[in-house]
Amino acid sequence: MSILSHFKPAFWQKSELSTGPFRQMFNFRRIWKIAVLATSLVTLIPLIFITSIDYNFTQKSIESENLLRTLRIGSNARRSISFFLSERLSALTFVVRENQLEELSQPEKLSSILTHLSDSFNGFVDLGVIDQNGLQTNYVGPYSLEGKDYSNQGWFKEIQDKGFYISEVFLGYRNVPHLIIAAKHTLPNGSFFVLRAALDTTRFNELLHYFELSGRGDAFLINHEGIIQTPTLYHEPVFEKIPYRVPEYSEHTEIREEKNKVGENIIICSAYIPDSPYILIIVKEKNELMKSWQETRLELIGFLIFSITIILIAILGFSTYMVNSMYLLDQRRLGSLHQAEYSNKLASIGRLAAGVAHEINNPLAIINEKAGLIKDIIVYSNDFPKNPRIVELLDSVLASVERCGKITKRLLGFARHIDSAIENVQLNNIITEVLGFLNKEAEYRSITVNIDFVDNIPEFQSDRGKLQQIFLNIINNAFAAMSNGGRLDIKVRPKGEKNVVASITDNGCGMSESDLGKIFEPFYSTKTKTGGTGLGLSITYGLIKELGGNIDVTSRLGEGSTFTITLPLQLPHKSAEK
Amino acid sequence: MRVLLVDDEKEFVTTLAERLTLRGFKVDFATLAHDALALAEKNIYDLAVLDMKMPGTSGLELKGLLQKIQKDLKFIFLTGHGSEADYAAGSSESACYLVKPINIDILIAQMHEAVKP
Amino acid sequence: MRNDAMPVQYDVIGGAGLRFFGKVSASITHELKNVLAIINENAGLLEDLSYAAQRGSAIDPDRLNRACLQFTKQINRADGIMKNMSHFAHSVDAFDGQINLYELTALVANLAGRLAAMRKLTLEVTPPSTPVVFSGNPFLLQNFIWLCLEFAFTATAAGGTLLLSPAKDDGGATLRIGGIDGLDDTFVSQLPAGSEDLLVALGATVSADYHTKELILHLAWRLS
Repeated sequence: MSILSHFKPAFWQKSELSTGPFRQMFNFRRIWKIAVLATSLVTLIPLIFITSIDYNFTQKSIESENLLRTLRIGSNARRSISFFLSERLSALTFVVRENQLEELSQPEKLSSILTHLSDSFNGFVDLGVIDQNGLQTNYVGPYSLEGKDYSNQGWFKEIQDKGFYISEVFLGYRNVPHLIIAAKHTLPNGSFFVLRAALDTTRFNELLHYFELSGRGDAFLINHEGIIQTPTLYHEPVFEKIPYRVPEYSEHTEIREEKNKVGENIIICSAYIPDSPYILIIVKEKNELMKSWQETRLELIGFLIFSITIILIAILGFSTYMVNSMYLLDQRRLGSLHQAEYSNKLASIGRLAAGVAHEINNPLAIINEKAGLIKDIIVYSNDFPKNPRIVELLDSVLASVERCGKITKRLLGFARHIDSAIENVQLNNIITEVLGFLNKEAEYRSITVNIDFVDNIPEFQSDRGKLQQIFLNIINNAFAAMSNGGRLDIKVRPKGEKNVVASITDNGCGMSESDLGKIFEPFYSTKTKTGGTGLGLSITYGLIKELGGNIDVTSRLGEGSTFTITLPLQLPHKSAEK
Repeated sequence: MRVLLVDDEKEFVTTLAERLTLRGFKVDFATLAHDALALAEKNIYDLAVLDMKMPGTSGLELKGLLQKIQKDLKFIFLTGHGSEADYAAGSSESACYLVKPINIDILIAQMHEAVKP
Repeated sequence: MRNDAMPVQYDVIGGAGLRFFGKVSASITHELKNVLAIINENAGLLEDLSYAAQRGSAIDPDRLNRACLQFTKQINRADGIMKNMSHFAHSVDAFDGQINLYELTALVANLAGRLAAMRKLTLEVTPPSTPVVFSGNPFLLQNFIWLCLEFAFTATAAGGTLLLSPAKDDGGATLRIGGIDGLDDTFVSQLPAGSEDLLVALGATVSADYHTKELILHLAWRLS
């Protein structure tokens, strides 16, 4: 996972500290997640929404255009076929009107007419004259149909009513598909005769294949029962039934969608060829039609995905950059706080050590003088060494040395515990130790220090160095708040089963209500005239929190303050020990 | 020369007083500021040797109070803190500061120097 | 100059600083106790001699004299120790102060004197040709020099002399610690925890010259 770790930004690691002045200002991971999520939703949802609307719209648009186009082609085809049929029918009608029956009954005449018809129109195969009894009295053509009796055939009956007839395609003689058209002519005497022609289907079929159909389109004719009349490209051969439902009669070209045998979507355009038994069917595969859409669609989706990717990359990059910048700034802020804590820590210890150095000077000076005096006695008087003063002086020296010894012992004891460590502590001892360092100052400034300890304060596990610093800070502050001749009361008691309470009361200048609310804030200082940085209390607060304790202040302006520190006898599990 | 010694450390001031006495000085001593002032009311001194830091009073304050009683009094200051001497030497008073523990010969030389007219 | 992108680990430095302070305080205290012990003995001796004289024994004036001289000697010694301690204690007063590299090095050498003596090593500080004065954090610098000395002590044989030479350099100042005859390329791993953070906070680098057996501390502070 090392590639990922390359990309992991600095703020990703979880912070250890969650309380105190050194906690991070924000949960950076969470902010980053929220930022990325929110920005992504706001940019991507409209984009996707609009794209999908566009997609749907375009798709529907293309579909409907396909349908319309097919419908148009269907209409055109219907017209062409209708025209083809009516054209030839009109030719026949012309022939029957133009020529007398007697003429038509002559084979040469009929033959000539057939030739002419064939030349003009292509496709006329034969021609026959049928009298009103249904008997073919004249016939020219490749088949021997002279004398055939059509009186019982349905079409003969039909043509008497309608005056014309167009047949379906059928396999006639020689198994060649053709169709019949016939025109009736009523004679003035009330009788009639029928001119019948067979058309080969070649031209007929060509008509249909003239239309270049997209979408694997198949155009063919069926009869009203659904039997295929013309050759198909992709469907069953002629004279088989189409696999689709035969459309209902309509004057207009109709179009519908359906599924074919293999379940593919198809469009069926149907048009009843008027005055004929034919229905035009155009079948197109929808997928083929939509092929160009599919390409476009892929491009559209591809573009969408690309845009989303770019947007996400930009959002991630920018969010990471922003949150990282926030993090670095916050780190810098924490760095300043840490730096200040460090200064503060060392400053108070520095002062302590300086105080010790100063304290030792006095006994050293005394030793010096005593020793000097001993010498003087040796020099100036005669009764050395019997002089009993010598012994006195030497005792004094020894006493001073002992005094130095106590001071250095105190410093050594302090120096030993100077680093952070959890150990058994006795709170009374720690406070006494700290007071020991401030004894001289108290003496010089005539400050009275009263200690009120009880014996039943239990030992507990805590950090000695931190406790020293906490009390050093509070008591130093108290000293700073008092003028000479002031008074400090320190009281230590157990509180319940689990805590111990130390309260430190001074009769110094006190604080106002508004100050009270702010004293634990970093950089808030009322001591700036004496060079205070305003950090001691905020750091003290942090230290107390790290030990799982609590600090409370009460104060009256002009009368003094009381700091109450409550410490647990059991360190909390999540103490930020480094 | 009549000298007033003031220092809050009794052992120090008594021994120094004795050593100076052995060397021919007339020495009175006090460990508290108000005792020193009482002595100054009663006797005339040529020189006062004061500790810079005493409970409740600084050496400079005491100097001011003593000067009110005997305005011609000369002063020498003793201090346990080297940097204090630096600070005070920078002030307008041209007084003499010695750092404890002191060398008695140097002290005596300074004392003679201080009372020169 | 400190790289602001890398946060200074003050909690690490703070720990190191406290340990440094603790070690120095302990060392001073022990030295002082030795002095006091000597004074103690001398006083005791004089007492004995005095009692003996009171009972009529003869006194050897030489012995007396020696005892009295010892007093003076030890007092002066104690005085020197306390001056050092005072300087040291005040070096934490300001986060940014004026530093005279020679004086600061001499102070650290003094503070480490006892530890050096225990290993039979001598420390010598050579003054530079021109004063090397700049602004910086004196305590951090002392802390680091101390750590270098502690390392140097472990890497130098008994009887040796360690030479400390502060000097001006283009871009800052250098402190060379020479005479570390056991110096090899493991020195980086031998510097204790927190050293790297100290260097970052100081804006300094440390390198070693294995031929001249020198540890070189380079400070890029502004010279004032």
